Parts: sequence; structure tokens; C-alpha cells
Amino acid sequence: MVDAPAYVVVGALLFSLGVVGFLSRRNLIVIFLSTELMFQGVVVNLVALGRLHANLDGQVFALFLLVIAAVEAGLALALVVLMYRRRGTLDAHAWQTMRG
Amino acid sequence: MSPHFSIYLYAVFALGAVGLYLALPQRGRWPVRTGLILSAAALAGLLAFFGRSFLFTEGTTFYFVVLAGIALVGAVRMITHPKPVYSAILFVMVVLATAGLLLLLRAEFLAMALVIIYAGAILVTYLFVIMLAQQSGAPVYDTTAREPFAAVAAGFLLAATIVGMLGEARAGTGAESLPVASEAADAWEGLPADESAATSHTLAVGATLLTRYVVVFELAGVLLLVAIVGAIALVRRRVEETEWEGPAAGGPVEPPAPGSIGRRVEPF
Amino acid sequence: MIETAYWIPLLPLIGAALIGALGPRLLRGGSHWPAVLGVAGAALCSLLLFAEVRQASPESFPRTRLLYRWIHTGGADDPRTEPADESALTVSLAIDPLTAVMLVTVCVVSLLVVVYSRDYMRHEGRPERGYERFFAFLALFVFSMCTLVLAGNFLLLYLGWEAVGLCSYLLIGFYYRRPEAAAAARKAFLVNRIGDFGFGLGVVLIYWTFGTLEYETVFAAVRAAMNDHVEAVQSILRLSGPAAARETMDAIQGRLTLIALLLFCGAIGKSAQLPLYVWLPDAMEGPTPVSALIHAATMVTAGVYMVARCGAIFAASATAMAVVAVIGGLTALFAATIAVCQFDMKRILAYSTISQLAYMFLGLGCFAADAAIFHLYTHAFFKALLFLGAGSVMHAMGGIIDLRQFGGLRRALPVTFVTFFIGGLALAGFPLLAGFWSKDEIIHAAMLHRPMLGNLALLTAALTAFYTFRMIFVAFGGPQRVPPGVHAQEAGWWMKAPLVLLSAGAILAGYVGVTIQPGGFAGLFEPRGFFHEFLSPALTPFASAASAVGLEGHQAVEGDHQLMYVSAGLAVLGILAAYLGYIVAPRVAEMIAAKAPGAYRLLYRKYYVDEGYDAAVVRPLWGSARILDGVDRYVIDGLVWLATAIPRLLGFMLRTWQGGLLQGYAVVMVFGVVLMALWVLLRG
Repeated sequence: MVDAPAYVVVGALLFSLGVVGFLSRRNLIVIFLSTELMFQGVVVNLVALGRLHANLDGQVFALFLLVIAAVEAGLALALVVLMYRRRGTLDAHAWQTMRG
Repeated sequence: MSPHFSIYLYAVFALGAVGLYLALPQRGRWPVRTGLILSAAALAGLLAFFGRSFLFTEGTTFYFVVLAGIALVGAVRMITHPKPVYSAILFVMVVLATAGLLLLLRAEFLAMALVIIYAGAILVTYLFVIMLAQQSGAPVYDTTAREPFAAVAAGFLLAATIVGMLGEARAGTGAESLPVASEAADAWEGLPADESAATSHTLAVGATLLTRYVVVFELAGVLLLVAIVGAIALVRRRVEETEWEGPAAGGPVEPPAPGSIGRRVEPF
Repeated sequence: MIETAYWIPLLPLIGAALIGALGPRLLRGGSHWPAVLGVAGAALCSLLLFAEVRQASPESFPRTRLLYRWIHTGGADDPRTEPADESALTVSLAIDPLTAVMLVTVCVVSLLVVVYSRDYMRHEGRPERGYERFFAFLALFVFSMCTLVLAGNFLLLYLGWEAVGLCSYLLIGFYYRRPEAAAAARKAFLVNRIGDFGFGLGVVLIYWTFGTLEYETVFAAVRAAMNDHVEAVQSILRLSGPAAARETMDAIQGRLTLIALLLFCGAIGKSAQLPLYVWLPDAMEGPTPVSALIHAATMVTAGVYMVARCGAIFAASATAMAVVAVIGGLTALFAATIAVCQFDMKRILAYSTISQLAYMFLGLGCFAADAAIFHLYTHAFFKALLFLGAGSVMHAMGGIIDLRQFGGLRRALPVTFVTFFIGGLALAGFPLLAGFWSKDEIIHAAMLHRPMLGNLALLTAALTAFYTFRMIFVAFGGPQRVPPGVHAQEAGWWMKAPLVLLSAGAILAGYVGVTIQPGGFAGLFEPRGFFHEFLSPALTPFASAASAVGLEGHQAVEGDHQLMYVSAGLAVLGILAAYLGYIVAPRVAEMIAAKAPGAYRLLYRKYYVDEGYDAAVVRPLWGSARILDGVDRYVIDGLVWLATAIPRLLGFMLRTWQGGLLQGYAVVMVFGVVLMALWVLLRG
């Protein structure tokens, strides 16, 4: 039986890598993909900690999280398509209208 | 976890951060390669840390290390690869590894659901969109990362903070360091009392889902419906439905060129 | 009596209000009617008042009526009771013989001028532009002047003073589109302001010393203080005790000269004496009726009236009397010399007015207040006559009034010529006309008290006769010549009637001040008559001060008419010299002018006084104004700019942080989350 801390470390790392990808890539699609990576980390964490507390709450939460992830992916991609149509590029830097 | 190991983890993380910084898309091949090597070294250190036997029970450790390794390798390469298609495929790898980790945690249903939904549906959608919006060649926004230092620093700090919380024992806040899992973890709540330990995970999850969390379950369904409608509404193109009326009715003499009807495109 | 007095200022005011409200829309060409009727009503009431005053006993004056308490100062008192709080600022009217005489003069002359203006402000029968405005302002002026004269306290006097100044400004600048007129109006107002500043300080000082502004109280307190009556001072001023009374008395005695001099500042400004006379010649830019009424007969005499009214204050201070007399004497000669070399008829008359006003002040300064008021009264008639006559000439000449451009108008404008001639005789002091009687008394008084000034006055009389008849002979004598394109003819009866009436006044008005008894001047006339008797109750301070100095009044000793013959002779001499110089041998004048070009230019350019003022006062003010403007623009605005520059700089620097990029914001968010987590982590 692997210890909960190990899973948490893995989950944290997955989440952090997702954050790094989100913050540093300019391609809109890769940005959302990194978001999905963050979800992965969260799922791992949830299930591990749920095991720790010896109930299924964590897993049910993770299940709903899947639903959310699916929803988010769908809408995000719809928006990416729109944004691509608007500017003709997938570059996140094309959207700077709020520049101060 | 004692503070010594926290420091070791921080050091490993720092090494990984440096490697990641170098590996993020940028001009030139040697920084990327060096970065990847460094990251690999960091990963190895991490896995070695995980593999130390006296902390863990035997048996499942090996699989954990392997699966965690695959997941992390995939994640790192996913975010550093210049081509989006590769990122998507690598993400599939990450998903499969995560599913494996979930299997290790005796969450079979969740693992399979993860694979089906993520790898089967979400990633396919991503791939479709990547095909739709593909630019030829290597566009600049794929080959350069923005503010890599800030991004990596943020990620590093985040990871370090979370891991730091693991190692601290603070009195009175109720957030004690995580105890070692006990046998009690094998027992799951929510099962009917007369069920034996041979009940499957799926049954257990289903039972919990439909008894304790039934409202949320319904809400999730509604949410999915709304998302479907929203996604369609977002991307709909308005099409001009005009037929060619012919000169007798006052329209132009020539029929409109094929494809000209509905040519005008207005985003919604 | 007071009831009659109410209407005198009120009727012209109503007239002015009516013209103001209805003139441009409704009355238009008939706008003169409310003014004529209002001023006529006022004139009628002033005559009635005069009759009433004449019938009343001399000791019952002054009669004061409090109209209402305007500003309450100090103490909580019941406004329904009699004025227990003397220190309140009130609106009160006072009547005495001086008031009656002034009112009659002002209102009658005003009426004749208003009637005259009806034709003057028309060209070919159609009213000029601004016709309504003119009559409204004219009626407003009459109201202001009457308020000034009827005032029973210094506050109302000051109000009337300023109001006449305002009307003067409005009327001088009547042709506001002419830059000269606008500049003249401004000049008048500003120069008057200087005098009024001193006047205001004097009024404030009075309030400070006496605690009240009411004439009766102040004058009674002055009399008591001059006689060292402490108890009287205490009771008059309602002081708290003998100590306070003694203190106040000492203050009064100490400050009286200063108060008198400050009040006199106002008179210098308003009555155009040295050094503040410079506005009056320029004021001739206004329409001629304005010059006739305001700058000859009424407004400029307000200073004389004020000194006469405040006789108690002035007569009590020898210094003040000396100042008044000296300034009067010097100004008379000064203005007369300038008038000799001017070519603008109205300007000659303006300098003549300054000179005659100076005579009045000379009389006041030599304790001959009744003679001064007598001269004021006669001067109103003949000076208004002369101005209206000049206006008639100007009207006939199409607006030209320069003597060099026309001449020999006696046949073209006969009525004007005759009346103007009569007025000129009166001004010159030709014997038996009004001006002779009044001017002669002043010269007498001057000879008695200050002989040097008396001699100056005699010299001035000769010069007056000279320049007056120089003007008449050049304008009306010799061959006729008119400017090209001008058809000279008399105006209608609206203009002729006042001229005739005023000339009658110029001849006859003097006889109210003369007693007919055998053995006098020219066998029949003794100076000092009904007029002086009538006025004496109001002018007692002067008489008592004269006797206090040891001089026995100013009238000529019985039987001694030498001076009268001398002044009569000087007048004739002056007329003769003018006749010789301009009718018989017209080249002589030019030859003299050519022989002494420097002197000629000095006189012609009015001693360069205006240029002097410009260099000494106006330019430095402009310079300092420019400097201050620079300070305002660069220093003060610069500070403001600096105060705004700092936020702008900050904004500029901070703006670079806002990239508008989603991921930039996300980085900050992640750092924030980390910080929060660290804070929770490390809090124990």
C-alpha cells in the first residue's frame, strides 16, 4: 500500500506542470490542454486523500470533476474555434485589447 | 515525512524547474535537450525517493514508481513539445498513467471512466480542433514560450508549497501531516452492512452516487445539457437562406455562383 | 414735509424703472415721457418742499426721519421701538434749508436737460440708437442725486455718491462702441474710485470714532467735543460713562482733521479738483445733455454739497479748511490756464467747470459756505446753459465741436447765439448777471482770509472772461464757415425752450442773493440777500468758526464795494481782450502762440498731466499685472502641473504592467495563491 503523501506529491507535480504549461505556452489549444493536465493532478489527489479518509467521497468528487472537465473542454474548444475565426491565428498574444 | 526529506524534495524540484525552464520551447536545440536531460535527472531522483522501501510496504511500490514516472515524463514533454499534436498524444499517455495510478488506489471504475472520457472523448475533440486550426509550418507561437522564468517560478513555488504542507505538523489547525494509511482504509463507507469485502468498486461508487449524491448527480446531467447547447450556440454560423429567384421575379439574371449562397459569414 | 420729500427721489426712480421695463418694446420713441414726467414731478415736489421749508421756523431744522433700519449691529433690541440702538445702519432722510436749495437746483435743471434731450437724441426726427437707455439712466441719475442730497446719514450719502458715479459711468460710456467713450467712462470711474476710497475710509473712521453714522448725532458730538463738553458727548453718543466719554472726546479731537481730509478726498475725486480732475475733460465723450447735467450742474457739485453739509467737521479743523481753500484756489487758476488754449468747445467748458468748482471750494475754505452754495446755484444755471448751447451747436454741425472747423454761426443759430452769449456773460462775471454776484462774494471772502488766494482768484476771473469770450467770438463771430456737407440750422422747440429758460435764470437767478437797497453797488445792490438768510441755519458751523478765528464774516463791509468794481472791471477787460484778439485782429493770437511755442504747447497739452499719470501710474500697473500674469501662468499653474505630473508619471510607469494578456494575469494570480498558501502555512 503506497502512502498517501506520495500520491499527493505526484498530484501536486502534475498540477504544477499544468500551471507551467498554462502560463508559458502561446498556443491556445495547448493552454487548454495544460488545463486538462491540472485536472489530472487534482483527480489523483482527490482519490488518494479519499482513500486516506476511508470513504468514497473523494472518488465521487473526482467523478463529478470528470463531468466538469468534459464540459469545460467542450466549451473551451468552441471558444478557441471562435477566436481562431476572429483573428486567424491561435496565438494567445493576438488578444491584447485590454492592454493598459 | 520529516523535514529532511522536504529539503530533498525541494532540491529535486529545483533541479526539475531549471530543467523545465531550459526545456520550454525556444530557439536552438541544445538548451531543450539539456533541459530534458536535467528534468529526467530530477525525475529519477524523485522516483528514487519514492522507491525507498522502508517507507512503503512491498508490492505496489514498483508499479507506483513506474506509473508515476510515465505520467510525469509525459506531462513534462507535453508542455515542452513545440507541436500541439504531440502534446495531445502525450497527454493521452498521461491519462493512461493516471488511470493506472487510480487502479493502484483500488478505484477501478474511476480509472476506466477516466480513460473512456478523457482519452476517448476529450482528447479526440482536441485533436479535431487541432486539425481544424492548423497552420502550416512552425508558427512562432508554438516555438517560443512566453515568460518562461515567471511560469516556471510560479510552478515551482506552487509545488513546493503544497509539498511543504505535507511535511509540517502544526498544532491546533487540524492539518496534521498525513498519517500512514492503515488497514481501515480498506473498508469503504456507504456499503450495506451485510455486503462482504468482495463487493466491486463500481457497485460501491454507484451506490454512493445514487444515494448520498443524487442531487449533484442530476445537476451534473443538467450541466452537461447546458454545455452541449452552449457549445453549439457558440459556434453556429448564420447562413443566409436565399434562393435564386430568377429574372421573372426580379432577381439577378445569372444564378448565383455555387457556394455563394450562404457565403457571407458572420460570427454569432 | 418729509412726505413730500419721499417723492422727490421716488418719482424719477419709477420713471427709470418704467423705461427700463417697457422702453425697448413698448415706448421706444416715447421713452422720454416717464423720465420727463418723473423729473417734472420731482421738480414740483422740490418747489413745494422749498415753500414748506421757508414757512417753517429756522430752529426746527434739521428734521430727520428714519425710514427703516437697514443693518442691525450690536445689541439685541426690539425693532419696533424707537431706535434705541444708534449704532444700527439706517436709511434716514434729513431736511434742512441746504437740502431744499440743492433739491430745487438739481430737479429744475434736470427737468430742463431732460426736455432738451428729447430733441438732442434725435436725428431728423428719429430717435437715436439707445434712446430708451439714455432716459432710463438719466432718470436713475436724478434719483441717485436726490438720494445723496436727502441723505440723513453717511451711509446713504455714500450710497448716493456711488450711485451717481455709476450713472456717470453709464452715461459717459453711452456711445459704448466708440473706444474713446469707453475709455473715458473707465477713466472717470477709476479716478473717482481713488477719491471714493479716501471717502470710504473717512466714513469708516467716523463710524469707528463716533459709533454712529447719523448726521445729527455726529455733528452734535463734534460740536460738543470741540467745546470740551464731556457730559454732552457722553449723552449724545450714548456712551457708558465719563471715562469712555473723555476717551472718545480725545479721539474726536485728534482725528477730526484726518476725517475731514479723507472726506475731502472724495470731494476731490467727485468734483474734479487737483489732482483728480483728469476724468472730467474726457467725460465730454458722453452726449452733451449728460455733460450739462452731470458734469456741470449736479454730480460734480456733490463734493461741494458734502463739504457744506459736513461743515461741523470741516470748520472745526483749521488744517482741513486750509487744504480745501488752497486746492480750490490753485485748481481754479490751473484749469483756467488750460482752457485758454483748447479748441474743443466742450472741453473748454469742462475746464471752466473745474475752475468754477474750485471757486466754490475756495469759498468753503474761507468760511464763506453760503457764498459757495450761492455760486453752486448760479453756476448750475449758466453752465448748463452753456453746455446745452454747445450741444445745440454740435447738433447743428453734425457732431463736430472743434472750434477750428466752424465759425460765424450767429446768423445760422440765432437763439443759440443769444442764449450762449448771455451764459458767457454770466460765466465771465459780467456785472448784474448771476455769476457776478456769487463769484464776487467768494473773492471777497478769499481776500479777507487768504489774500494770496484772493489775488489768484482775481487773476482767474480775468482769464475766465478771456477764454469764455474767445470761444464765443471764434464760434459765433466773424465770417460764417461750416464744415463741408453740413447744413446749420436751429433745432426744434424742445431744445430751444430750455435754452431760453436757462438764460432767463442766468440773468435773474442771482437776484435772490442780493438785497436791493440804495447806496450799494451800482447804486442799488447790496450783496447778501434772501438766499443767504435762508441758508444760514444750515451753515452755522462755518459762521461760528469764522467768528472764532476772529474774522467777522465775509461780506463786504457796508459801503465798501471796491472789490466788486475791480472784479467787474476785470471781467470787462477779459472780454475786451478776447474781442481784440479774435475779432479785430485774429492773427494776433497765432503770432503770440508762435512766439512762445513751449508755453503754448504746455497749455495745449494740458500740462502733460495725462501723460504723467500714464507714465507714473498706468504703465507700472500694467507692468506689474503682466508680471503677475506670468507668475500665475508659470509658477502657480506650474505647481498645479507638477501636482498632476506625479500621478501621470506613476500611471505611465504602471501602465506597462498591464499587458492585456490573459497569461500575464494568470501568473500574478498563481503567485497570489502561493502567497496565501504560504501565509497559511507559516502562520503558526
